[in-house]
Parts: sequence; structure tokens; C-alpha cells
Amino acid sequence: MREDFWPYGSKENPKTLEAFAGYHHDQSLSARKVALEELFAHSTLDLSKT
Amino acid sequence: MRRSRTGSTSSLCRGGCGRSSLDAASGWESCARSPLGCSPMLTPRRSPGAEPGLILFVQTFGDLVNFNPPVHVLAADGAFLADARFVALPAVPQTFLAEGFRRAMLAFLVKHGALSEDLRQRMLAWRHCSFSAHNEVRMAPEDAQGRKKLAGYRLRAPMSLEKMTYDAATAAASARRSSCPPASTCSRSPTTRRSPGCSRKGEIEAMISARAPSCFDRGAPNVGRLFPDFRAIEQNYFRRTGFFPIMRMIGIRKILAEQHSWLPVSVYNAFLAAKNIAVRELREVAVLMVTLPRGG
Repeated sequence: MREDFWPYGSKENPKTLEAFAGYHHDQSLSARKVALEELFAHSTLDLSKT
Repeated sequence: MRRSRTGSTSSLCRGGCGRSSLDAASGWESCARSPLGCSPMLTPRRSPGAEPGLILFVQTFGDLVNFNPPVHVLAADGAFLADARFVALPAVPQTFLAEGFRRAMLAFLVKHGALSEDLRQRMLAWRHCSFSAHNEVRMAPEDAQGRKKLAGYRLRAPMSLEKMTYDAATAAASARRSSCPPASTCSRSPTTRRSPGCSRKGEIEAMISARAPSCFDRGAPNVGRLFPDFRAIEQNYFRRTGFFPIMRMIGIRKILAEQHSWLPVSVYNAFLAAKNIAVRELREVAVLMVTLPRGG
């Protein structure tokens, strides 16, 4: 595992969040696959651990 | 007599059977009728030919456009006798109604070959078998507004309009269907009714829980993990996917985020700082934050 095994923030977790949105749509819980940019406050999209 | 002419009880009976081939409407009707029409005061000998006053509304589909029909029953708080007289009766107790509906529903499914007798027997031992009923909504005789509101609710669209999409080009409406297998049923176990020995006794067949049930910790022979070698399976999953499950999302009201543009970033920074402190403490060897495996 990486040094920071539990990274915070949308920018740090794109693969997991993409999978979440995909599963959510596949299981009919959302009418379309929602983009990550729609899920998070815009000001936090570019945040990374500092 | 005056009270019972207009007084009524609204009941909800819900079944989780996924067999759309069943003649569900008639089955639901008879199953809802049996407990509602039963009353210690309404025996055939005492009141021959008595009929409960029921109007049933079958909502054929659930919100996911799956076949999960709830039956709403508008029931008069009494029964009509053969000579057209109406007699008021005490309310059917909630536990009596729920248990009566459950038993009638399981008997109906066995009769129609949708359920084996063996499974019926076992389902009777379950705390939750996905057939439930309640009669908690009561209408007072003089509550005209309440009756109107209730009628409007009963006559709503038979399926969730939120799941429907309309294509203007083809003038066609379509619904997204659930990809869940139609025969699977789940019920949430209220924590207030959870019994420490319920898994061991076989009342719960499977559970998903953050904490192991106490019978598992005690080493009950008939309770085990679905994946006994779960550590290796989880490690393999991580190697294949790179997913380390996200456990929490922090939400802020949109209106607050709009009024205070600094807020989302500051909250993020605060949680990040808190995590850094926690991880740093994990690495502190002088005073360990976790149990020392070779501790004396």
C-alpha cells in the first residue's frame, strides 16, 4: 500500500469515485452516470493533500 | 352506529414476493381481508354472514419499477351484517393484523405453488419475512379533509414517475428497471428487536454488519463468515482494483457553501489536519495508540 493509504479528497480518489458512480448507475440508483464534478463543491475539486 | 358509518382505518400491507405470474390482486385481497375481517366479536355463530367493509388499492410497482406490490386498504371500523346493519368493532391490534397478514400471505403462496411448505415453516420462524402490515393511520368520522387527502394519496400514479423518462423525439416513455434479481428480498432488522441469539437460532439467515454478532464471537458452530479467508480475498481485491473503500463523505448544505465560499475548502483542510494528527500518533512508539502484540 502507498504511504498515504487513505487519501482524502476527490482528486485523490478518482478511480474509486468513478467506480462508485458507475455501480450506482448500473444498479438503477441514478438515472445516468453522474460525473464527479457534479458531486463535489467546485472549490474542492482541485484540492490535494498539501 | 353513527361513529362507525364514516370512521375508518387505513392499513398498509406490503409483500416482497417477486412472482409476477401470481394473480396477486385477488391473493392480496384475501390475505388482507383475513386478519382485518377477524375479530373475537365477529364469530360466524354470533354474526352469520358478516362482511368487513374494505376498499383495496393495489400499487403494482415499487419505486424501482419492480414488482413489489403494497396494498392500501381503506377499512371501516366495523362490519356489515347479513341484514345490512353495521356494527362497530374494536380496532384490530397491530400485532394481530401483522401476524395474520403474514400467515395468510405465506399460506396463499404455498397454495399457489410459489413456496414450499418447508420454506413456509422456516419463514414463520423469521422475525422479518418481508410481508408486513400496519394500521396506524386512522381517520376520524368528521375528518373530511383527511379523507380527501387520503383518497388523493391512494389514487397517485401506480409507479414512481421519478424513474420514468420521456423521449420527445419518439413520444415514448420508458422506465429504468432494477437490475436486482426479482426474487431476492431483503428486510432491515430494527436494532430494537435484535436478539443476541437470533443468528445462532437460525432466525436470521444472513447479515451484513460492521460488527460481528456476539454468537460469532463466541464461536457458535453454525455461524460463520461467507468468506472465511476474507483477509486474503480483500488483499487480492485491492491488488486487482486499487480500491481502498471510501467510508465517509462530508456534506455541507449548498446554501452555506454559496454564502461562505471558503467553507468547503476549510472543512477539507480541517479533516486532513485531523487525519495527519491521527496517523502521526499511530507512529508514536513511546506511547502506543494501539495494542502492542509483544506487550508484557
